Amino acid sequence: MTWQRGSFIDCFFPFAEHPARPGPMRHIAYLQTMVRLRRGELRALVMLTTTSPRMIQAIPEGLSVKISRANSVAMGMKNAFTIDVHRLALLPPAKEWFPDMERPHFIIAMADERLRDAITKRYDAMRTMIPSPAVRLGPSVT
Amino acid sequence: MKIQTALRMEESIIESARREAERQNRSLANFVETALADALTGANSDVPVLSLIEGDDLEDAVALDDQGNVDHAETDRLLHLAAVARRDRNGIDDERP
Repeated sequence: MTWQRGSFIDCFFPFAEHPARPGPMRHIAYLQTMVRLRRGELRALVMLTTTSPRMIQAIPEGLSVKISRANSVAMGMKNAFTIDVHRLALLPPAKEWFPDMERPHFIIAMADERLRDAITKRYDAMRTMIPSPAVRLGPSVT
Repeated sequence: MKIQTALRMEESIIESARREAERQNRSLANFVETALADALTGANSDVPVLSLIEGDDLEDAVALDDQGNVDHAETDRLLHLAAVARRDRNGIDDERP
């Protein structure tokens, strides 16, 4: 089983309020990248996808990527959905979080280069919209 | 794990939900589950939300490409996200009496 950037995979995406506990229902998540922690453990950085109008409405402007039904079907899925670029989880690559990870159909669909670029552009836009607090702007100390 | 439950609700609400579920090509159960999950997911937030496993430290974390090599641009994005995201590490406190 391989973890591939740009794949859509089933995941028990956690509620933000309970980040250490698998969520109660499957969500299709978008795999942005794998991450290696200092001690060598791997994590999957995934973005939430949703079909819920209420959740889509809650996404700040410019931080979502909408997939039309036609594009969804072209990728092998069924319905239109939205990728929420600002709701992410860093999860262990384990069955507890990714129930199908040992099954052949683990990867539900793959984003093509164009879609991956669009997602990364939104992700970068978030950096512009919300600058890191580590960047201090102000009078220089001489 | 799925469980079966019974709720008494307004017929008109159920009928509306059933129609909307059909329109979205989903089962009523899945539609209701999603609506409940939405309600529990929390308020709108302009700040990105990053859910982390308790104890995970992103200091010195690196993003890897599909060949397992360090991807510096993606690592920069990750570290920025870690700096600005709302992290609900203490969400479990919600369950304390």
